[in-house]
Amino acid sequence: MSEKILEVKDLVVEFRTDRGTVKAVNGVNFDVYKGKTVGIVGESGSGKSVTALAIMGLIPNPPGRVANGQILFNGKSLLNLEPGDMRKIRGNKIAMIFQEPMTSLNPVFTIGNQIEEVLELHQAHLSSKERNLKAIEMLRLVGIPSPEKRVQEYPHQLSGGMRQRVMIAIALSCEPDVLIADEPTTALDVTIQAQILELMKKLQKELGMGIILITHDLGVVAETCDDVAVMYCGQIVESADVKTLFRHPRHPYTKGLIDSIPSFDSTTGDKKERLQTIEGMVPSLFDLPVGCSFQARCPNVTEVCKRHPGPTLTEHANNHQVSCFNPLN
Amino acid sequence: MSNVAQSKSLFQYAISKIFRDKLSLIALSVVTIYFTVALLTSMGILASDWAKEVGPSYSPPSTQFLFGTDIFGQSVFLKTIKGVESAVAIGLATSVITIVIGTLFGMVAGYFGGKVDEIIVWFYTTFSSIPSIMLLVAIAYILGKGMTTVFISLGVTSWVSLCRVVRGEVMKHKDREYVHAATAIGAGHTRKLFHHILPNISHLLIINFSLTFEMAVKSEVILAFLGLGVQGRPSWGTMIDDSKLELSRGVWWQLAAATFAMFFIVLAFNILGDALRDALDPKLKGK
Repeated sequence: MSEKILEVKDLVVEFRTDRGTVKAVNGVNFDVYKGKTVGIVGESGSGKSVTALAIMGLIPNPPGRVANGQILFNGKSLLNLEPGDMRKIRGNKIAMIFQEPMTSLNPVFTIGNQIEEVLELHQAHLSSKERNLKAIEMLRLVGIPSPEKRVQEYPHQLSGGMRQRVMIAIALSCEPDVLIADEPTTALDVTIQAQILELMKKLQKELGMGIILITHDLGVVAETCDDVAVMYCGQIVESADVKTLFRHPRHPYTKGLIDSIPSFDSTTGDKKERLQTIEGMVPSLFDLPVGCSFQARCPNVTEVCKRHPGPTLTEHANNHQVSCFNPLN
Repeated sequence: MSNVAQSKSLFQYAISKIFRDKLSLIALSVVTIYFTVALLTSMGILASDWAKEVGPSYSPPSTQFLFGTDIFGQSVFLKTIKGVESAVAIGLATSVITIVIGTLFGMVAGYFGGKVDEIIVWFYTTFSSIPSIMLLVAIAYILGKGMTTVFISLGVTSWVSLCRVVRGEVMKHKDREYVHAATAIGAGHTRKLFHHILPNISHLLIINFSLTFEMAVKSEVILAFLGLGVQGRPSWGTMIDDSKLELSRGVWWQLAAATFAMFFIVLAFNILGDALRDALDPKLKGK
């Protein structure tokens, strides 16, 4: 196994609202290794993005706060860093790509300016000429044609895919150790999606960084990740390496997610099957049921599942952890 | 995607738009002429001898005395020209004071929110509930008469509306993704506010500049009427103030000269302000 660069231990993130305190992330554990990609999968509201924001130290406080747990970056805790020290890590050691490339760039600056800004913040020794050259080099690295010209363009002159490439260029310009990609391809169409994922994989190989890929798209996970954690209601319900997870999902929720991927098998000429779905809705975080939070939608639910306390994440096979009383075989 | 379009920033776009519109181009030229005159007067090149007695008092306009003369036999024409200097100085200084106070308070209130916001909102609500003419007079009496008094009293009474607009706009922008992205690359509060958000709301400042400028030029007359105007040098306000007694004797030219001089610059600024708003406000783009 390669070097461990980021550890998330028992992370709990709370939000205080008028209706009470809500645990958006409730006891999440995972590790990120150098040169490897961890996928975090789950429905909207399962706590994926909050986990990412917590790592970046960007939970809006108030109303949110990290109530418990640890985030260790190269063995050092990120949670009790001074704001100034945290700023030195953001964008420099840990970088993030946002979901919306259309709005994540400042409309009044050229893309060159925006790449140069990161360098200005974290690599003060570079002269403005050197920063400009580095910006061009970064644009070339992410595959933007004629970067010398593009560097002077404004965000509105670029397409969505181009803008996401620019975001990646910004995120990678200080060669971070960890890259958090929060649904980086959700706003892009499928062909561009594939290009962006390819690009991320290629750059990961070149720079050797660990990636946390947050997505709700299992196709993207299968394509890019080494390890996967499936989140539901703020908790990880199953984690395994990507092959095991897809071949032998043990949590009914994971199985349900995999079954609800539409398949287009033209070779066998099978009769069209109805698309499988997971019945029901994600329970509101305000009134989570006693016991397992998936009980209302689970096909294998038993009396045990409604018991307090609910299931905990336990190791069932080599590195395959499931949080279920009746795991599938 | 391969052809690279000509880069054009919002301001370049605005300028090219103004140059294409005849009316705004005329307005821009008028403003430029006034500013040039003001600059030349302040350097002593133009109308430096305005205080000289050129003829008998109250001579009506003629070929010899363009715009006539006043009670001291000074040329009304030269006084009007010298008045441009006062007007432009008042307009510029007042707008700068207004923009600095309004923008700073508005940005801080909108960005930090919470207690800070409450205090600033309370402050400007209270402030704007005091009749501004009373404030003007009070400030003018405290500071004593003079040009600086006019700047300051007009400046500190007119920042509230800009502050409100800026506050609202910053509230909107601070949650935009580009600001979050700036946080994610390690930018601090000051950098996010001044480097990222300010350029995005700067069109408001430019529009406000043109509005405050003309407001200040007009308000100077009120101050002059209250006896708190510019001292020791001609201004349109004091000229109009003087003519309230002269008018009953049929001396209309001093009033007319000052009013027309003011009319053109105020009108030009109004048109320019509209044109700038049309050109710079993204919400009106394409209309």
